[in-house]
Amino acid sequence: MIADVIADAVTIAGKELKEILSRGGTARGRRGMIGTVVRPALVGLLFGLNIGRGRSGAALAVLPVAFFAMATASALVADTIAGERERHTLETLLVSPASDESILAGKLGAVVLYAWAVALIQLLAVAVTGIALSPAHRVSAGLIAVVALFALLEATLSAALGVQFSVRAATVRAAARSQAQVGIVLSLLAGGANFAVADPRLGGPVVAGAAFVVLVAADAVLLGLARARFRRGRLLVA
Amino acid sequence: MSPDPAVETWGLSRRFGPVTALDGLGISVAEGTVYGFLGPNGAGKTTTIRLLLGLLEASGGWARVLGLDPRTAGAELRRQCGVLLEHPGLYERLSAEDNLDYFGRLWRIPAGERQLRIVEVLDHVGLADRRTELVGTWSRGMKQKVAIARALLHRPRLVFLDEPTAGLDPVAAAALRNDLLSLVGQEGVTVFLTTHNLDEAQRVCDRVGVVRSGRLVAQGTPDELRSTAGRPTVTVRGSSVDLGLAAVVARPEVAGARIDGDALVVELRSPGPVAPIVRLLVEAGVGIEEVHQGAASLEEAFLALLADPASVAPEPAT
Repeated sequence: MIADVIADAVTIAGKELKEILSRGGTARGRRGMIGTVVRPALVGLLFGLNIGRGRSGAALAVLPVAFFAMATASALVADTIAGERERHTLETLLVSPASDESILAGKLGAVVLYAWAVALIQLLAVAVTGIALSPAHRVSAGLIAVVALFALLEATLSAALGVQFSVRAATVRAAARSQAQVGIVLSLLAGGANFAVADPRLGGPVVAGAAFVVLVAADAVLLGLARARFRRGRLLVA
Repeated sequence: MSPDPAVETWGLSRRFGPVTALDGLGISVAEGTVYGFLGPNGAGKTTTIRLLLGLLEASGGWARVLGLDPRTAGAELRRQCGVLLEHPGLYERLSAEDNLDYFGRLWRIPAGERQLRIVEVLDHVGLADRRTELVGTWSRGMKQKVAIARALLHRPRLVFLDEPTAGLDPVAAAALRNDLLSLVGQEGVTVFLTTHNLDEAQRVCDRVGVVRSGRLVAQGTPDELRSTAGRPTVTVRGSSVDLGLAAVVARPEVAGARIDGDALVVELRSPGPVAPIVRLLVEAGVGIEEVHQGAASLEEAFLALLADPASVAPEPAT
């Protein structure tokens, strides 16, 4: 039973990733794949170039990475659920034998994985640029690991939140509009946590630990809510 | 009728708040037949399909699909069913092959068999050579063919077709209907078809049910439904047709007759041989040039049923 859920979730996630990577590109997703790697690498390069300028230490340079992961997940989750409804493919998926749980897991998994991969590419670019151009403000492996972990947790938070709004939205735009208000508040909170975590003067490991616990709890609550709301009957009558 | 129907419902109902979308539906669909489910927009056709597939929970009554209860065995019965909805529901950024491969995986078709089957079903609808193209660039008719291929990919026992030819031009609709009948004939599946196209229903359905405002108002073969809309007629064209009028109205099988231009229209009480009437008219001095037997079309029967506020079909025996 669990093996079936996992197998279907992997199939659905694979299809979602294929679609994400083929956006604006070819059938094989070459351009989409290039965009996935090149764009975040360029953004990471820009962040890395700022290291050592004014008050910008390495920590402040990597701050926006987790925030970007949230924004990426937020945009994608609306497309994978409300977008499928808008394109009339959702009901076709719902008449398959795949369980509600595997559909949700596949869609969330693809969104979080993609958003996190983008964040990791950005982090790598920041680190390489920082090491090459500002060795005095070296980006530590510990900082990279913490930001990578927060990027994963915040992408999950954003994706799980997006499910709440996409389940009944008729279009991607409608889902994004409803999500925006709550999403802004959430982004400010997450941004504040990122800032506190990245700047030792604001608390360091203690604040980082507290923020980690809050994020994990928030993820668990929102994922639970997403699982409860993501039901065929609810998805169909939206 | 088969002792084990593919679809059987009794008192099946579904309410959405104060709105009753389906009210006490009782139908029985024999295995290996094509059942047409007819009704105007908002009559409850799509809700019925969703209930039968276990996508929605019934507010009342029960249903058995392939011997399974949709409320408790939805996933298992969906595994044995194919579905073609009004929209093709294809992923336009993927190729036809990738679309079918995705659903083949969800239906757990083993990898080797899946690839062969994808080529086979696409070949049936004439698209095997174009299977690596993105479907987003294709016409509505081509997309609908891929959707049919997808519905039959896993060799389902029962196929639900919700308005399969809606939005297609007549040529594409006829081609699709032929493809569908050919595939269904080869695969030997039961078909539950909803359509607005009554000519289509008359051509392909073994039995039809007519639903109005969530209630079943009639059920039977297309011929049985046609017979409810009006009596069979015999139209005789020629010279001096008025000479036959008095002669035919005296016959016991004739319900009435009238002159319509150069034609004598004879209304029969029930379907039967017309030779005695023709012989009578010849003896009365009518110069017959053309004889045409007519009956109400399914469309006329459908409209008559929808116009009759008292019509409600009885529940099938269970």
